[in-house]
Amino acid sequence: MSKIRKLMPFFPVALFAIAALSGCSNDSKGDKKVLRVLNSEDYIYEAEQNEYWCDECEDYIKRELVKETEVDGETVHYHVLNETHQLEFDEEESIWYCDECEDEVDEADVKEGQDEAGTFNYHNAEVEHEVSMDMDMIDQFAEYWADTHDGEEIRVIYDTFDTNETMFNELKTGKTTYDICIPSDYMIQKLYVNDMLHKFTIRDEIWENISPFIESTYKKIEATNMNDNVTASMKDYSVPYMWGTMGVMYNPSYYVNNKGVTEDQIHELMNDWDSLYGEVLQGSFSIKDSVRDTFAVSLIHTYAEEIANTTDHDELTAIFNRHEDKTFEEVKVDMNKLKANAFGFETDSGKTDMTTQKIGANMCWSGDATWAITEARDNDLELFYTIPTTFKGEEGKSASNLWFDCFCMPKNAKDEANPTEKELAQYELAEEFIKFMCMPENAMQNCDYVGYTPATGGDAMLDYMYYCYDIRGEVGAEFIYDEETGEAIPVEDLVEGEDYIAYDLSYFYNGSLSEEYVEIDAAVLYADPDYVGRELSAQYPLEETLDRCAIMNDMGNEATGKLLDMWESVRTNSLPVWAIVLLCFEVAIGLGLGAYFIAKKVSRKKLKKARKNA
Amino acid sequence: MKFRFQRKYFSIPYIIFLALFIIVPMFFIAYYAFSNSSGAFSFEAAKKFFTDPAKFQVILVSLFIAIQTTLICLIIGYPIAYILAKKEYNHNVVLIMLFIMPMWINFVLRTAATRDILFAIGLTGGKHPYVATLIGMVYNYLPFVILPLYSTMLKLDRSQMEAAADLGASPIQVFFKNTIPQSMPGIISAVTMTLMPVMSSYVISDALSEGNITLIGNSIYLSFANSQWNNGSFTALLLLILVLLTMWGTNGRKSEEVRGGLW
Repeated sequence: MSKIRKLMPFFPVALFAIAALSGCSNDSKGDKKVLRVLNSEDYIYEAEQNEYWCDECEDYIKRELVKETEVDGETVHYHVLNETHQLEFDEEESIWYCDECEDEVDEADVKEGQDEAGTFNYHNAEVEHEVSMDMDMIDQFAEYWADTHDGEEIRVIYDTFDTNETMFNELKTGKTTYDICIPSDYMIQKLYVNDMLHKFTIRDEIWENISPFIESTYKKIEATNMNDNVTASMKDYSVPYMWGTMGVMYNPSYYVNNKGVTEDQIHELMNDWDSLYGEVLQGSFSIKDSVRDTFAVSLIHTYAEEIANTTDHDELTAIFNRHEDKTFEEVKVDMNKLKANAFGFETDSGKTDMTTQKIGANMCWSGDATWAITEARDNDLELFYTIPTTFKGEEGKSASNLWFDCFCMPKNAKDEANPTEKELAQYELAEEFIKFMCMPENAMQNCDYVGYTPATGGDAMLDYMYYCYDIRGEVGAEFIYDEETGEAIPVEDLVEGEDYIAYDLSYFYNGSLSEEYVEIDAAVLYADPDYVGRELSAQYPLEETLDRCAIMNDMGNEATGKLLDMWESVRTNSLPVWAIVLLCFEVAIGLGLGAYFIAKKVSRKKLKKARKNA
Repeated sequence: MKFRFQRKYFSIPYIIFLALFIIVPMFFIAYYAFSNSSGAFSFEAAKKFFTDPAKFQVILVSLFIAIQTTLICLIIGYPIAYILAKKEYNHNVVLIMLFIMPMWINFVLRTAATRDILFAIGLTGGKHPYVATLIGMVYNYLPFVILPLYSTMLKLDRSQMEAAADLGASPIQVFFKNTIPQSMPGIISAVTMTLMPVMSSYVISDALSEGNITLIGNSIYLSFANSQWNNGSFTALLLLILVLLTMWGTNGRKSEEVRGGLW
C-alpha cells in the first residue's frame, strides 16, 4: 500500500500522458472542415506529388526549373528549354528562316551539323513549355471545393483498410468515424442491413455521369434494413466507384515451355473453369486467399450443368446466390479438389508471381490483371486475361463474378432524423467529393493511376480509352500514321481483323456520351489487336461476357458464419502419413528417454536409501 | 508532502507501456474468448474450438512443424555453438557475426528472399509445402538457438570434461554424461525460444508454403480477418496458456548455479 502512495504524485502525469496520446486524433486541429475518407488499400492512389508535368516533354519537370508568370490575371507555370531547330536558307530574301520558331534567324547564330544524310544547318532556340502541377485527386478536390465555395479551405484525411470485414468492424465499433467509405457491393448490403448508411440527397447529379449499364445492373442490388424492414435498392445509398470481374490471368509461354501444349490449346483451356481442375494446369496456378472469390469459382464449377441450362440472368443470379447447408457441403468437396490442384493460395503475391513467371496462371480480379499485364508488357512478357464462360466447348454457358466497389456515407449524425446543421454540412461535403470523383475527367485520371475501371462513362473516359487502346489514337481521327514510314493512311483503308479489331463498348458508353460522339459511333473502338484479350478485355469485357456475370449478394450473418467455417476447414490440411510416422517416432523416443531418466533417478534414490539404511 | 525523486520512478514509462500494450490487451483477449458476438458471456467459442476437427488438425500440424524445427535447429546449432565457444574461435568476432547478422534484417524481408531462392532451386511451396516451410523456419530460428547455446557453452567447465576423459570415459560418454548436462540450461532456453514462436508464427508458413500449411498463427489470423473475434481470441488464449505452461515447466528445471540463456 505504501508503494502505491509513493507513486501517487505520478498518477496525474500518467493520466495526462494517456489523455495526450488519445487526444492526438485529427479532429481537434483548427476549425477547417475535415473530410474523412476510408478506401480499400487495393487502390494505389498517389500521384507523383507536387511535381510539374510537361505535356510536350512527356516528363516530370523539377521544381527549380519551373518559372511563374502572370497571363491575363492567371498564374501560368512554364519552363525554358534549349532546343536545336533545323534551318533553311531562304534564297529569295537571302535570310535564314526557322519553321519552328516561325522567325528569321540571325546569321551569327547559325551552326552547321553533320548526320548520316549529310550536312545541315541549325540554331539553338529557347522554347517555353507550359507545365501544370501534378496533384493528387484529393488536393484537386480541395482546390475544387475552394473554387466553388468562396475559397473555403478543407482538409482531407485519407485512410485505407485491408479487408471489407475489418472496415465493417471499425465502423461498427464506432471508434473512428468516416464521412466516406469505399467497400465492396456485398458489404454495402451488410452496412444497409445494419442500418448504418446515410441516404444520398443529390444522387441524380452524381448518377448522371455513371454509365447506364452500371446503373441498370446496380439498381438490382437490394437489401432489407433489419430495423424497419424496408427493402431498398442500394442505388439510393451508394454509388459505384470501380467495377470489374473475376477471371483468370495466364501466361501462354509458361505452358508451352513446361507442359508441351500449343498456344491455341492454352487459350481454349483457359476459357473453361474446368481446366483449373485438370491435368495441364496442375500445380501451376494460384487461387485467391479470399473466401468469397474462391467460393464463387467452386460454386460455378459445382453447378456448371445447371448454369449452362439457365436462360436468363435472374436464374443465373439465383444459382449464384445459393447458400443452403447442402450447397456448402457440395461446394466444399469441389473446393478441396481445386485446392489440391492449385499451386497455392495468395493474397497479393499473385500478380508479381505472374510477372516473374513463378506461376503460369492466377485467378484474379480484372484490375490486378490490367496492372500485371501492363507491367509484363514492359518486360516483353505476354500475359492474357479471360473470363471463362465456356462449358464443354460451348461459348457463353459458364459464368463468373461481377463486383463493384462503391462510395457510401456511414451514418454519423447523433440523431439521424433531425441532423444538426454541422452534420448536414458534413454530409454535403461528402456528397460533393463523391460527385467530384465521378466526373468523367477525374475518373479518367483516377483510372490512369489505379488500373481498375471506373463506373463513370462520358466523353473524357472514352477519349482515354482511345488514347490507350484505339489505333486511331483519338476520336474522329481521319488518318493514322505508319510508325516506320510516317505515311498517312486514311482510316477507311484499314482492314478489320488485320489492322484492328472492332471492339464494341456501346453497351457501356451509350447514354453517357455527347451527341457528337454518338453520331460517329465513337463507342466502337478500332482496338489494337495487341490489347484485345489483354488490358482492354480486362478493363471492359464484351457485352455477351458480362451477360454471364452475376453479383454475389451478402449472405446474412448465419450463412456467412457457415461459409467461414467451411473455408477454415478447406484451408487446413491433415498431416501426411510420413509426417505422422515421424512425429510418432519422435514422441516415442522422447517418452522413452523420459522414462529412462525417471527410472534411473528412482533407482538411484532407492540405492541412496538402501545405503543410508545400511 | 515534499516530493523526492527516486530512482524507481524511471520505471514509470515502462509500467505504462506494460499496462497499455501487454496487460490490458490480455484482458481483452480473455473477454472476447468468453463472450459471443453480441457481447454476452458464453462458452460458444470454446465449444466450437473443441468440436471442430479442423482445429485439431491445425494443432497437430503446428506441433509437427514446431518439433521438427526445434530438433533441426538443435542438431545444427549445437555443434556450431560448441565450436564457436572454443578458445581458438572465440576471438573471431566475424564468425559469430555471420550467425547473428541475419537477425538484424526483418524476417518478413528475409522470408520473401528465401521464397525466391527456393523457387530458383525448384523447392517451391506449391509442390513441397512442408520442406519449404521447414527450411524457412530453421533459417529464421537458428540464431535464437545458437545464441543461448553459445552463451552457456562459453561457461562450460572444460576441466571437468578433461577429468572425465582421464578417468577413462570415451568421447561419447563424455559428451552425453558431461557436456550435455552442463549445457542443459542453454538447450532449454533454446527450446523455449523456438517451440512456441514457431507454433504461432504465420508469415513464414503462409509465404513459403503458398498458403498450403495452416499453423495456429494462421488460424488466429483467419478468424480475425473474417471478424470472428471470439473464436480467434479463444485460440489466442489457449496459445497464451500453452506459452505460460512451457515457461513454468522450463523455469522449474533451470538450475540456479549454471546461468546462461537469453534471459
